[in-house]
Amino acid sequence: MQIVLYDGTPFSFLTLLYEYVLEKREEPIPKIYNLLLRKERAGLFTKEIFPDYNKALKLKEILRAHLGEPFLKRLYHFYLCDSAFLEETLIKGLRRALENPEIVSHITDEDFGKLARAEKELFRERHRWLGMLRFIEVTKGILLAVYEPKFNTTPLLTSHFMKRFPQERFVIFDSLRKILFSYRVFNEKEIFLGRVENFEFELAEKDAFIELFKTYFDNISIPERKSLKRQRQRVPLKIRKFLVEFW
Amino acid sequence: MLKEFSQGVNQNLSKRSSPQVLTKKDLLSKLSILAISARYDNSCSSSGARRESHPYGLGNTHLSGICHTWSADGRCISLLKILMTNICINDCKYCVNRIKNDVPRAILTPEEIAYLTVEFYRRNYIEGLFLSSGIIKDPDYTMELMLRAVKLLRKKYYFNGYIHLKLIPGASRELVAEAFLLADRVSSNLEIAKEENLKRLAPQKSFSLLYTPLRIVRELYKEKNLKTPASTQLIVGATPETDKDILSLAKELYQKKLVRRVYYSAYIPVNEDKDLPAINEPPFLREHRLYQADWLLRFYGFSLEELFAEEEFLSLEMDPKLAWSLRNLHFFPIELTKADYWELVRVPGIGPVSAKKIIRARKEGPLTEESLKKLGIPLKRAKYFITLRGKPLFKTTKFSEKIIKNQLVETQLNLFKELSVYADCSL
Repeated sequence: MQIVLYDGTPFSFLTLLYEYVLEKREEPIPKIYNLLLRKERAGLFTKEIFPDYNKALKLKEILRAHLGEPFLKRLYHFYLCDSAFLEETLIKGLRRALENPEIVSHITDEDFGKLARAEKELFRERHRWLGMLRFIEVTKGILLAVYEPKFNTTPLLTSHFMKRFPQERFVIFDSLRKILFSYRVFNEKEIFLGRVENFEFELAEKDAFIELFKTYFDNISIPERKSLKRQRQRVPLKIRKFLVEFW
Repeated sequence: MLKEFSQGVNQNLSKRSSPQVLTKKDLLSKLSILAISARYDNSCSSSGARRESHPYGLGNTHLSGICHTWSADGRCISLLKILMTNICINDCKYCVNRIKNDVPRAILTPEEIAYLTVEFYRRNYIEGLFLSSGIIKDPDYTMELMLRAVKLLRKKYYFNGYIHLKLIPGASRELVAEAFLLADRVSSNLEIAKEENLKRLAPQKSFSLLYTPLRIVRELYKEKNLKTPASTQLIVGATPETDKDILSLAKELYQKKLVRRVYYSAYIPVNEDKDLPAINEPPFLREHRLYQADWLLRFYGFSLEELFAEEEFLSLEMDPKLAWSLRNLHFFPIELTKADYWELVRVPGIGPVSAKKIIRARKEGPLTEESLKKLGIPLKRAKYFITLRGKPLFKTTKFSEKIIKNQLVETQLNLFKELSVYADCSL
């Protein structure tokens, strides 16, 4: 079976969909790998998709005309669910939806039901990190949060933290995808969201509030109610490295 | 990259400075004493408030609330829940902070409370502040000090994060009104469901004293036909009240729109006293059943009378909806393709989320057992009580209380035990 690689950017994602939903709609759907999450080399049986802005924009226009503006927003959400590997489901679903547009809102549809569940999980993941993102004061007044979400939630977190901390200067860094969001770090108007290959920082001194919060965290728990299993269900071990209270 | 950050940031970015009184060691020990003193209050919700951030300030609220972490007891931490002081003139026999107890005492100044809240908040440790207090000198003095902390937050730091403020019983109307204006939620704990038992355990308290702050805020909120953004807490198992007594009081509070939430707190012995019951284990399962019943009253359209048969206590071996279903087998089976929302939520295992999914899926095409599974509708309990186009999902010719009980009751109890304190007792 043919393997198709793409670099995980929105434009190559749309180009990929354009090719397999519109141009090659009669061909079997290949295996698709997102290079942002999987190190795969181009080889004899692989084909790499390069971003083609015209194709991407054309696809958007076609989808807007057939499935409506709100679907484009959902398409963006499906793109952000990167580790759910929805590309093949999406191609299959879109091929059918162009014939029968109403299936995109059916939760019982084989493809769009799966996509809707992934979208819901994306919002659950976003909600988790709204609470669990931890900022450390790395140098006077600058806050840094490093995390590795299951899905690409950083673009969905930005507006929440910008509204919540209008006067703060902060950086959110997804160390798995190397996606960085910075707000007012160099100057008052600066807002940046994008991929960075190299990101280094050094701590000026240990943030004193980490110890204070750990003290609070340890003492607020009622010993008679101790239930580490219940705690594990809510705070899986794999995310604890990003939470200062578990350090 | 951040090496460069520091070069560009020579000016003092933070307008906040730590209060003069404070050393880190002091603060650590105070925080630990006052968190221990506050932990028996069950309320930690940060939902139900709409407050936008101030352009020059810090913080806003999130309508559905946000949990920031979970402590070792499996409870969510959303707010910085502390007492201003655990010094208290009252002698409530169930309370860890009673005047007679020889425990370390501490007091946080309003400046320290505001400073801690802001610094925790900007690191995204918390959603806001839950401030309660023991009574120092008198109720007005205590309430004034607490209000000073909240005013600092709201007026000096322009802090628009969530604030839950305990209303001190006996505080003047003006102070209660001011607290209600500044906070997103207020509370006054009624503690015990019957007044004679309350007076026995808390000689300085009475229903009229504890109700007054809730009544004042109801009056202030009367132009809105909504429940007041207030809550209360009832202790379960310290006194002989039945579940029906406790839920009757809760129902009355909801009907009069005095509170949005009643919290139930299993009695945990922290003091020895002849008026307190000797118990081996706190009644956590009973507390759990009360919460389930409370949910049925608020969101499932159940009436109080439906939850109780002849006994005045809820069954411990099964949840109250399953218990009701087994007493009312004539109501079942429910036909999934035809039942309305309120019939669907009466089926054990089907809640508001599943009921809405079923109704939506019915419009899209024929429902099948497969599609129910795909939608994530849990059929483990529901299968005994439903039919799909006239066909039962439970393959048996007999449909009796005994069969269902045998299948489900043990599973429910095991699930609770697995998740509850018993699971970690041996650790």
